[in-house]
Amino acid sequence: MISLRKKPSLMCSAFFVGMIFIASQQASAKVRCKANDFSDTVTRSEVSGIAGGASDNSFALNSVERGVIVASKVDLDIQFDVDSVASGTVIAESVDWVWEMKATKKDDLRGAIVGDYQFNSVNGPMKICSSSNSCMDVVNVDTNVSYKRNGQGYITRARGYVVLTLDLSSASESGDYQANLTVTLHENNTSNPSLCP
Amino acid sequence: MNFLKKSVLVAGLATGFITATSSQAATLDVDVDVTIPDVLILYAYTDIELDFAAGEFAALLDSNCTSEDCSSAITAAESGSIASGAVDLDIDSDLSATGTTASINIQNSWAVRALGYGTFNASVADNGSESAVSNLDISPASGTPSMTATTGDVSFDVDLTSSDLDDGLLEANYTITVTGS
Repeated sequence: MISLRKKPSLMCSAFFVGMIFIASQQASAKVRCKANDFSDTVTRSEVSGIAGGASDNSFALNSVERGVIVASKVDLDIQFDVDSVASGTVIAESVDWVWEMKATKKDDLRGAIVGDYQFNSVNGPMKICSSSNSCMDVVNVDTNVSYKRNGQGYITRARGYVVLTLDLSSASESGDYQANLTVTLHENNTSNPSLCP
Repeated sequence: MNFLKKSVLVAGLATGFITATSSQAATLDVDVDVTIPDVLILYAYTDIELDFAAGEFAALLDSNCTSEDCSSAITAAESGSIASGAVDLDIDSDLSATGTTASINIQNSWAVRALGYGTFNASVADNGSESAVSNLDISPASGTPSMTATTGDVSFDVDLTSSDLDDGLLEANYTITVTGS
């Protein structure tokens, strides 16, 4: 009877050890994350919407503009047409990846990796500034993610290339604009827990 | 069996704890640098066709007129002496009180956007207008540009007595120049 009672006890111990082993394996399976600096030079053509690289450009609004003179004046409202030909936004795109995440099968990542981006500048959040007098507003952040997966579809590496849409309407200075960007990576949805340890 | 249950429970808790630990919030820090060039852009209409509203042109000639065809009474008593059956009332001298020049202001007809310039200076020069056109002017002549468009006006005077108007068409040609500094 005694030996019969000891046997299950040994099996239980083996199970416990097995669970601890599995748990410790899971603990060692942590994703690794890295960041690269984002750097881009916007061209004059991108800012002006006019081909060529001259610093001074004229943009002819060639369509016939018609108006009626009342009290010796007529308002042609060129602002409307300028807004239609110049959005006031530029696209800044990272040449290299901005973030990289490496994982293993044990991390169980098979979905999409999404980033949450928080910009912080001298003039506050979601701005990139050259000084307190001149900032660009970050109006949109797109991420192109390249994945490397194993044969079973688990992500082994993901790299994020960031494309920024910047509104220049509050900018007045040329030169270098800077901000700190904090990136948080998640699987599928930014409401899910952060992936990077 | 009790030990088995406890072992499973302990292992389950351990697994859950480690999983939770591995999903704590963490972030990556990135320095963002974007270089923006200096640029100055002048926008302008190249073909503007204007008409006077009904009554507007007549009013330029005589403020009493509000339609294209009007009568304007000169109510001051006119006296004269008839000599040889005729009298000259010299109405031209009374007409001189009415307008012979009209100022036309084409508002918001050009715009400038710029980055990297503290000021801009604007000028306008005649580029083959008909002789009835004079005193070309631009406003504002200077300002602080930004990427939000600064819009401006061009104005000129028209000699209403000029034969340039005989064909019912007046042509003004001008060149706008904006420089940044």
